[in-house]
Amino acid sequence: MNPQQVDTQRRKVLSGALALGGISTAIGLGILAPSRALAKWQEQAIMTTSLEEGLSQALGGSSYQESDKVQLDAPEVAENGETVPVSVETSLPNVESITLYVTENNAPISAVFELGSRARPSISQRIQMADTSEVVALVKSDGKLYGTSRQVQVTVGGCGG
Amino acid sequence: MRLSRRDFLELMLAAGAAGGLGGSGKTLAGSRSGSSDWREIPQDFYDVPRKGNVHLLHFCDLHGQLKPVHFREPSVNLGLHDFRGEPPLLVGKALLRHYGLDRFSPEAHAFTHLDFREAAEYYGRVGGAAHLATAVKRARAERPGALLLDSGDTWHGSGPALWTEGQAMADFQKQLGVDACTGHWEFIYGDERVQELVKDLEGAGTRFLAQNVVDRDWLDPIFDAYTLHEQNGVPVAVVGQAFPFTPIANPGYMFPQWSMGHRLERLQEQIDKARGEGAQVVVLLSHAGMLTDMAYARQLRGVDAILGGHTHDPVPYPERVTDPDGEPTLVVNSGSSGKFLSVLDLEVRDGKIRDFHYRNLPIFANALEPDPDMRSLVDQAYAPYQERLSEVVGEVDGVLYRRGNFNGTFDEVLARALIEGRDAEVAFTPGFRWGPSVLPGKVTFEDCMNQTCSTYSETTRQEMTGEQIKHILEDVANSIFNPDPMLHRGGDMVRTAGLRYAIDPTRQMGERISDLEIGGEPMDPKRKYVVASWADVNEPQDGPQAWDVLADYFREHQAIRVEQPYIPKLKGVSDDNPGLAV
Amino acid sequence: MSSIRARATLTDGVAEVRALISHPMDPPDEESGDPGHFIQEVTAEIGGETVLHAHWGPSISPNPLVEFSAEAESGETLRISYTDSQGETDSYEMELS
Repeated sequence: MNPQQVDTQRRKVLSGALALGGISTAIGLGILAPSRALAKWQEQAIMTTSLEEGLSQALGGSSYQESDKVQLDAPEVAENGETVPVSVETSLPNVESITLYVTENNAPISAVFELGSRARPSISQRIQMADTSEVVALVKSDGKLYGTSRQVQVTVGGCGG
Repeated sequence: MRLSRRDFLELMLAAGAAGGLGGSGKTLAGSRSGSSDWREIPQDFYDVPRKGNVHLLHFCDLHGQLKPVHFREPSVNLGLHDFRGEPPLLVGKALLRHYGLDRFSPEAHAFTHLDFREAAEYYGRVGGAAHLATAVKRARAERPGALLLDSGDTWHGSGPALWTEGQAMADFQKQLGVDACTGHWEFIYGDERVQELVKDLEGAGTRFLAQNVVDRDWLDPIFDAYTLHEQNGVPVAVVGQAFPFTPIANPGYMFPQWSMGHRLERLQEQIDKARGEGAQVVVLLSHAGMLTDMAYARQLRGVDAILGGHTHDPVPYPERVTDPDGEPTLVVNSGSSGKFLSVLDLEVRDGKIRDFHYRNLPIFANALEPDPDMRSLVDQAYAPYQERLSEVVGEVDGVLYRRGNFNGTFDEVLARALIEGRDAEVAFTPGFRWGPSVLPGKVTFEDCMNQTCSTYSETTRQEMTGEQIKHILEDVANSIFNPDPMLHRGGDMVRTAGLRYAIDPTRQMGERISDLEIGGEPMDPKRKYVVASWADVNEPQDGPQAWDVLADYFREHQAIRVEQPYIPKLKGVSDDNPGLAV
Repeated sequence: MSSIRARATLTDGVAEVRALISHPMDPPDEESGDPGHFIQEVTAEIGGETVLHAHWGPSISPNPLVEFSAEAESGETLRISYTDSQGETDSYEMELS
């Protein structure tokens, strides 16, 4: 029952997103390391606070079709908002990438996984969540985006028993 | 499985008849003054003839109570949505009506809060390791080979339990001959200590089972999932399910590498595996809470009975839940604080359960001779601490109790103690369901320990905005009043002092709490308020221990008047909800 | 010792891989200007062929864990490597069996 703890964590994840509304400012502050030879889209997509912009840069679009062929497994209540296990699996063909994002995180995009031809379209990853939020999994299959979402509760905890 | 209510009805008729005859002289306990409406405990109360060929004895949530106590069952235990009026969310007369229990029977006292003070004075204390041991021995003498199962929350809840880091309770389990147990508050002693005590138990033949505790990185199981036993030629598997939300409800930093959760897929695998190894009966020993156990029963295949704990909801009769294959699963909860021993006899023929016979026996200390060996074990466990625990810190003119969805009278005192002792505007005290009741008269330091002891009971004093205060109320309400029992984390609503609010438990997260007032003024979401609390689960604290703050309050005020506890204004719940009696 | 640990099981021509990286995954802090320290790219190769190329943001948990599966044969080498926001890299290799 200590909201300060929750707040510290929330602030970290939120400010991890820089909350600056634009990547150029961040680079200007020296917060990012522009010297590193990352593709432009990666920095911009992953660090941006604008989900739409990020998805467009990473995946060439942000709208997706709801699909029950994308299975997203995540706890209904997170044991710890700092490490929430999330798994994505799909029966869709020709999967190029799997993307995970958390709508309430200030930097919503957690990860983009590009899959090689030998990879099975199945990924698990632990992510940080600032607050109760929808978690969305997007699958790019045959050039189109399909997705599904689940709500994960992040609670102040305690009081059990 | 043929699940008739026959035995249950027989039992109730017998109990009614015995009570009705009154003064037959063949009684075990109860006042002889004749001034009370309460009926004496019939002499054959603990005669439970053996039936069937597989026998299970069960208790749960003893919470360190090695000596007999009083424990007032709730007068508010709301059932909402699909669960309105459904067991175990029944209180008082509604519970008696549902189970056909006589209003003034010993069972009525054991299972309800009705006329608590009078009935408690009449029947005396309940539970106690030595009395429970006698009941276990009697049941076992009738049914050699019976399995004794413990759903956990045994190692915690009293001074001797805490100060021996659970050893006093592990010794009790070994002495009682517990065959298998699982855990929740056990984990508050930390991963290393839990492993030590589990090893100690297993050396004595007591298995600690928890299929849903795994290494958080590699998902390797930490404990055994199940055991196989044979009774009268019938292979019986017991699968353990620890409290799934322990890392949220209690300090996860005490066992940082362990992850829990329901893990129903793995649970189903374990059940199937046990069946594959020949088990004809599968019992789930669970610490998920009764409503959640019933949700498990609807989802799992091949479970015959769930013997559960956590929500401290004693039921006089099992719930029969239909699994996905259309087969029945019996779900039972055996209350708390050593107050009950469940006896479940199963008739198994040709690999199928044909019938069952059940009693959830209240352990009335005055009606059971204490077992001498267990009594000496308890005396030894208490000896180093007896003087400290016996200190009279004050007295009260009413019953102190905690259990119920909202503030109990003991919480009122504790919350006031926090406000005064930590100089705060608002107090929060967790809605724990443990903590025995105290009858009017002297209050001891032991009573203070029983309400507050844990490995993280340090009090806190901090500033919170009005918005944060409301969020805490919403967050806790979203657990206990959630329409989905898979999201119930147990406990009752957080107890408060210094604030008033209205609650509509039927609504969604963020919409249940309204009309929040702090210090008599409408809550200002931006203003900071000084809040005292205890039992922070996020990080270690260094404030004074809650038991000292509580005991100091008694020592300071000496005679304390017990008033009606604060209940928030209820919205969306009708006065005739069978889980409400105020 | 590598900061990466991995376990792989090879069944019917499919390797299931679980890899754990010891890394703070410290996000940048806007207020203090702390640039943070977090992994940005993770690559997994089997038999020299890239099967996974992950781009991570700072909201990946500390000591990140990633699980994936890919077609593989016994005797092939699994190589996992990462690069973080301070340019530090590490890698781990194991033979699949």
